[in-house]
Amino acid sequence: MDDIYAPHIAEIKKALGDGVSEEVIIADLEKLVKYRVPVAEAKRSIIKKYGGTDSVKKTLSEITTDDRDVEITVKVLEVTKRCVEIKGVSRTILTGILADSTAQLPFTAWSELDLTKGEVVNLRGAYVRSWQNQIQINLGNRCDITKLDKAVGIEAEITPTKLADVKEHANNLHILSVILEADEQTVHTKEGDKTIISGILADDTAKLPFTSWVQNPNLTADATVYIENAYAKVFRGVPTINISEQTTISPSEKIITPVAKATQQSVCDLLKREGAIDVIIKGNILCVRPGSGLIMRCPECKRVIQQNICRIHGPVAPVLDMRVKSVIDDGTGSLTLILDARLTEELLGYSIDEAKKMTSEAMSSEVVEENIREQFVGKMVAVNGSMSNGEYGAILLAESAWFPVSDLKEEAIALLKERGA
Amino acid sequence: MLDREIAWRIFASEFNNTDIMHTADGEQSPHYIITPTGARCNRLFAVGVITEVENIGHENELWRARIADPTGVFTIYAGQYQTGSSVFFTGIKIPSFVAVVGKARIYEPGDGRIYTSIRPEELNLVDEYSRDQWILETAKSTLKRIDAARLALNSNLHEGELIEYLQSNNIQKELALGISIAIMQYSELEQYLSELEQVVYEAVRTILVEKENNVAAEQKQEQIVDFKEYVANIMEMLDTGKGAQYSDIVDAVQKVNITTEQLESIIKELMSEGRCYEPKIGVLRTVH
Repeated sequence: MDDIYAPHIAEIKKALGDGVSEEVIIADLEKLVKYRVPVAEAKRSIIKKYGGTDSVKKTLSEITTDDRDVEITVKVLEVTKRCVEIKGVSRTILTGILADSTAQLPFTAWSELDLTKGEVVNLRGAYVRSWQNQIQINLGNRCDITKLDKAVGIEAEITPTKLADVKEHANNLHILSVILEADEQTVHTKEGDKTIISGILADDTAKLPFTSWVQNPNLTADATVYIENAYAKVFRGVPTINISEQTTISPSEKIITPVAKATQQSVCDLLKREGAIDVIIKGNILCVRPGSGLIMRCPECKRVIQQNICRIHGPVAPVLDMRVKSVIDDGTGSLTLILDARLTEELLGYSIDEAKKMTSEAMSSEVVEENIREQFVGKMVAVNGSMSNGEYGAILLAESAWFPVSDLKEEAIALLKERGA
Repeated sequence: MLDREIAWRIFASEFNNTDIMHTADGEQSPHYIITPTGARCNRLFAVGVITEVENIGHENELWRARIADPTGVFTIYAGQYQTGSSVFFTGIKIPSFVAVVGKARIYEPGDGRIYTSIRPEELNLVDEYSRDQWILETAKSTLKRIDAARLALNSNLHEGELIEYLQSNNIQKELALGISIAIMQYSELEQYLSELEQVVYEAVRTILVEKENNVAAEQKQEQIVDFKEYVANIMEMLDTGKGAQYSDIVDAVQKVNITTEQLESIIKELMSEGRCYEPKIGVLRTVH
């Protein structure tokens, strides 16, 4: 039998113990493979046939999204109760983080299992799902929990998540960061007005906004804090750290160097993230999209309208606006770049009113868009702004933008020197 | 959402030494060329000097243009479906600095020869500074690819293993993929990489050529042939109702290399012609 089956055979042997000889396993597996049964199903079938437990023993680092039934010995690093609605029925579930000496993974228990933070347990009948591109251990009704002596001791502590790695819908986030800004705000919710704290967190990888739904004296600007058990949600295209009653915030003595003002990065690195604030990229404008230049907006909803008729509000008196919709590319990747009226005016060198004059003089509504194309296509532009990466692709909303000018001779000399040429 | 293809920065020399096409599996997957340094390229961005434009079509329009960078020449073909291109080529002055974004094409006439060309998506006039910026950027990314390709050659790994190895060395997936194909298909790659490296350095050195010999300097001189009119205009522009400060005028004309002495004599001339006067010491106004 081919070598490619060796790991599977080893896995089956591990599950069955010494009771069954390797030859028998190989013979059975060969037969099932001949019938073109998928390997995962073949394994399961063989283990069941010889009375082994369904669960395959694995360490967390070995777990893949194909695992249907695993046995793991882990320490519960974090566990929180959450109320969710599943098909209209409200249920209490648990989410948290499990760890062994090889890895950490998030888990969800679909009923209130008896799990407490800090204990070491053996879990059988766990299954694996990929949720939001992240491997997650699922504990259902068939899950067997055996509590182990703490002395079995798994040395594992939660490693804080770097802000650049925060994904949409991440739960039980632990974050070590500096609070750059924190402001109280009153928001209107279904349960009436609420005071929240919102601001910006930073570590050495990125900056992200946060919203705290509870008051906490540790949430003050310039403080370095360790945040346990927060969750992430996408707000205006950017993952936002949410702080709730279940989050603990403690001051930290650790020294964090927050990312300096915005850092320039390559587009390909930026595209790995689901959203980001205060980033700088430098690239060439490769095309200017139709819908750039002078546009009309509905005064009510700000939608772009044509012929003074809004899709929602009917005939309206339009508001004049100007923008650039373009594609910027730095040789590593590309994204959509949007410049608002202020930045468009700045880079073009004329105002909305002047643009309007140009349009009426040329008797063409395209003249501004055409001029933008002439001034922008092929040009190198540096942009500082926030990026969202959702269903419409990656979009960078610029807060400032400029044509970078540097001493190219000096750079050329530096490059030749660096290469020893 | 389908990812937009990266626009690679490739010198004409490397582009024209490319003879491998590659199509990913799956229906409607895009065509790529694989350059010797492993750029798996469907789209590219180039800035150079346009040296030739010709409509070679008979019934339908077919434009052929040549755009030169310091290492060689890109051939551009634009047919009737590249409508913007024909407008652009009709009005173009030769030579001028041009930026082109387009699709990489390979044409094999069947006699063993292979031609690369660009089918333009966007064409635009740019300035010399943008061209130099492009040379520098393209040099940097070409050198990065050369280093990555050497790393691959020295690793003695192939295909999947090689791609993984390159990615673990912070090399972008698209490039890792391209390099894994390039090192299999290009013979004597090591020697070519050394040659290309020298070509890149030569290209970078062209930026160092004294600006006086360059086109932009000439253009600038042409633009401001008439210093007197220029100063008169500046004076009027700086006048916000109470005249223009002399010191502001000095600052403004310095940018176009008019010396203070020249400025003094120009102002004297303007005064004697009755085109400006000095209502207060240090303040100048134009006469309308």
